[in-house]
Amino acid sequence: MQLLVNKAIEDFLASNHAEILRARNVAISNPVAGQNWLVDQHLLDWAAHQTGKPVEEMFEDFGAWLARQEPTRRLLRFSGRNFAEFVVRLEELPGRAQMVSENFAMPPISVRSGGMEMLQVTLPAGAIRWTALLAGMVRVMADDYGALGLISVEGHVISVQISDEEFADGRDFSLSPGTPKHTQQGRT
Amino acid sequence: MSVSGVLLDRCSLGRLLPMHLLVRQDGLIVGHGQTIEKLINPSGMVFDIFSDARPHSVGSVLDVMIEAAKQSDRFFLRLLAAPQLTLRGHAVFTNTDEILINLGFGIELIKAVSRCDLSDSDFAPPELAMELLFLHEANRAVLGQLSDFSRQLEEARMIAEIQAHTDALTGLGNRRGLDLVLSAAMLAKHPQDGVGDHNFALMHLDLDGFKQVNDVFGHDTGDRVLCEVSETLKELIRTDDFLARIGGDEFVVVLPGLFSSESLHQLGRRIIAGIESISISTGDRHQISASIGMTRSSARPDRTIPQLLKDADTALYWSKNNGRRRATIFEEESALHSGSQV
Repeated sequence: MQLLVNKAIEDFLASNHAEILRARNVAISNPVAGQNWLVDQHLLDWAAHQTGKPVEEMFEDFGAWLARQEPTRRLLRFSGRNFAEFVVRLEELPGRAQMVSENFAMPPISVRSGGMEMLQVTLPAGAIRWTALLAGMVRVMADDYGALGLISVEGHVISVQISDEEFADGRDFSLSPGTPKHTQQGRT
Repeated sequence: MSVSGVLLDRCSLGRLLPMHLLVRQDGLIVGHGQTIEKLINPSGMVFDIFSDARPHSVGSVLDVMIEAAKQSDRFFLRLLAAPQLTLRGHAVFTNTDEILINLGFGIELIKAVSRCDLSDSDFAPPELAMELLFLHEANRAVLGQLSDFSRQLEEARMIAEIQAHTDALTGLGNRRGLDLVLSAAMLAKHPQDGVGDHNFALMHLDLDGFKQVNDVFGHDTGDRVLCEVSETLKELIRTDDFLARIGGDEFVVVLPGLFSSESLHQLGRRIIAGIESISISTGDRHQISASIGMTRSSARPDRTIPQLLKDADTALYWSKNNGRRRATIFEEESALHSGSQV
């Protein structure tokens, strides 16, 4: 799993920050196996440091990029028939990740209603990077479902205000992969 | 018979069990769930839609359903319109003596989803269909990536393999490469089929005057000279011959074939002349040369690789000790066949 995560991060950097990838040092190719990869800070943290971006922004960009990759997008779309359901069922995401790979440690996610058409996605207090990554994904998935949502992040809480579930046509999704249109710009 | 029970309207039943059929005892379908519509046209008689999917089926598909309802057993149905799809189900009798059957996909789910364009809403919430599909897709994605990894790994391994047998400076073979080639040559010397020419000659070459090149002109010049020597050697030998640099200024050539001592001496002379023509530094008369020791596998066929190398080495030292710039062929312990100086 660590391999896949590293590969995804590399692909992301290659498509968004090619110059950083070129300048990367051995740290990126030498991760300690079995570590929780977001606690394992030296990959994207290092890239953030190099670009002068806040770490949260780098992780949010990575989350957004990840959700735009066709295989990941499809896996995310399995979580709900519409955007609201997708957000509510983010609670299942750690379980799904666990199902794919037992050693993929993702922090628990809880989703509560925060009033009128407002959902609050809460992660453990220390999980700032996970929160940023998830926020990036949620933003992209709102577009994917064609929903109009206002997504804001405060610390380890993501607030999702869904003002129009059917704002625009979402992207096609069928349970059967058929002929997937790959949008993996990150492939090298 | 008084029966206490639950009454459900058709609509609720359809929502609860989207894959159900309600069948009269004569086989007529009288009710159905929403999802089954995507697979079949749920009207008419069950025999016109399904067959029994068990290998040794006896009786009609209706009998199978009735029997399953009586025995509370499971049954398997094949769609007549799509024989590759098998549904599994169970059945109960209703209060009005109809047969209520509920069907599911089992492992054929993935096929069914693509054939019938099913979506999340088509499955009853307790079903694990979505989880199965999710896992199926996650698996494919992960395996795809893993096969990319193993391909890259294989490429890296091949490059490492080539590098392991190559001298980085000259691009010739190195000691490990030489060992491989000699092992292959030794194997070929005792062919199973007993045909072909499997003899070879081994040439060990040591540069004369190279140490001074390094000392006087520096290592950059030394490296350039070594590259020029390897180019000279490449030009003088055949493409099938194997050339290795096995030490600072030591080269070994493996020459497949049977050679007369005269032709080996001729080659030795050409090589020495070629090496002597390499210019070390413009305007300087410094010159390098070479001493050569050779041996032929045909001379004593029972020698091992280390013995062959040692004999070539012995011949080389004989050349060195007898004025350098010459080639010597080792034939037997006592007989060193030395060529004349160039």
